Amino acid sequence: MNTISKNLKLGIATIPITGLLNSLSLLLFTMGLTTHAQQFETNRLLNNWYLDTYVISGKKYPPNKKEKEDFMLFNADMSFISKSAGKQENGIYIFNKNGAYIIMTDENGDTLKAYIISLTKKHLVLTFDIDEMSAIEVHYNSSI
Amino acid sequence: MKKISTFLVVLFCCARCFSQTTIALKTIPFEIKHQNFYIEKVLDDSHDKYIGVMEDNSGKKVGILLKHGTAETIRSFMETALPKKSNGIPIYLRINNLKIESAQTSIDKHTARVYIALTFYSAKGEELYKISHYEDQVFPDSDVQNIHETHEQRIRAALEYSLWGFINSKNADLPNHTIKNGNRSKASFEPYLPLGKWFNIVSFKRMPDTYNEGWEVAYTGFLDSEKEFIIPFEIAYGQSRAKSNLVQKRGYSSVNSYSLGFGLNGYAKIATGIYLDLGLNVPMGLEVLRDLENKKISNFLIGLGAHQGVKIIPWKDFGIIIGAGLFQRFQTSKIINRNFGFELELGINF
Repeated sequence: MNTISKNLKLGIATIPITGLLNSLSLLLFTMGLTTHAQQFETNRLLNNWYLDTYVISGKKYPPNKKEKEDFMLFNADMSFISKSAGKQENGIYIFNKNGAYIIMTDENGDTLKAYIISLTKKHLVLTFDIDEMSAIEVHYNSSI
Repeated sequence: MKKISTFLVVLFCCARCFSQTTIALKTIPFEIKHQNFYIEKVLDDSHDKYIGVMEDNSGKKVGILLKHGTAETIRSFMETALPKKSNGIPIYLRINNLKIESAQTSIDKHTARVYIALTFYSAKGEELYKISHYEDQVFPDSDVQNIHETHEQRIRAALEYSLWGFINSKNADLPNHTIKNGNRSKASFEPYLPLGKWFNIVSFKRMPDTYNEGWEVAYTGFLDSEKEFIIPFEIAYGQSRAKSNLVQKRGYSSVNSYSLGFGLNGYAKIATGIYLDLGLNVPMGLEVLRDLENKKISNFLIGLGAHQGVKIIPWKDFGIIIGAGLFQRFQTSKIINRNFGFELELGINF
């Protein structure tokens, strides 16, 4: 999971400087976590989610070349497969519906928490519980 | 007279008893499916009557309770998640602790938090699983008013987290949750530690040394911690004036330097109210010199500074702070590049 978070950070590093500055100003002067959306159906999460875009202060930034094929697949048996900057990882996840977050634990026992900003049949928006990334929305599209 | 004072004491005690507010958990229809157990009974072992304390609009402390009592509220929540089945395994749940709190935790943010400690037992009384968990949420200062109304969501999230912990534990032994890669969450249990207190300090420092007379005004904000090294936020403005004989030796009639320092200080708490103060900073600014013909010369200042000292904060909420220490500074000054001295600090915390 460290790899996942490292890779996410690497991906973000390719965002143009203006975007980075925007995100830094957000980190320094504005908010931490977004108020979480309310109730999510587990079935909606069970999908293969492909990385679509990053959104910082309302501006969209595309993933870099390495991240083009990135995805997160959530299975009904609470296992997941993810590809982050080309590297695949497996593990288990907990979908905390009351807290509106997912905790993913990889094979090494490392965990990554992601807050669900919105979840529809076709779109998943997450913010990751990593200091440098808390102001960055990560948008995914479903494969179906 | 004695009767009147007794009456007043009783009245005051009653008033304190009624200073309380309740939180009701929202009934969210969610169910953790395919489980072979249900929660038969919930017992409350927590020592405190209140699960938290908040301040009302007048600044008065108000105790917080769960609307239907802690045990009944949690039992009802568990029943929604895991409806009772005739062929299900009854599990008994003991609440070891449940706390809600909020505090300022950085210069512009507050943290709201739920701490929960639960133990799961079999019908025979065998301890199956013990878990403690902090459910945190960070709020910007502009959103602090939403903390109280969202406590209930964090309580629900903490309960659901604990339930998943139990389900994923080996002791739950649930055939429908065999994880393919064999990686299950481990039980974790840590005792409750309250959120640290945030200190705001405005202080004035005198910093005399062999060549200069200096002072500094600083704002320091930090989150108190009993164990961890404290990294405060600090912004300071200072001024120093070189002593005249040295200035003249260097060929100038006067010099003033203005610096804005950004850096990191670290505090190590050595006893209640006593902190070891270690700092490293990069002062940047301007040195304004006048030569013997009164011609003005400006010099860009940049350097590296360090200090070591002790800071004493006797009163937690509001009071005077005092500090003393040594400092060292290396900078691009035309008068003196190396500076060593001592500093005396006086300020207020609020």
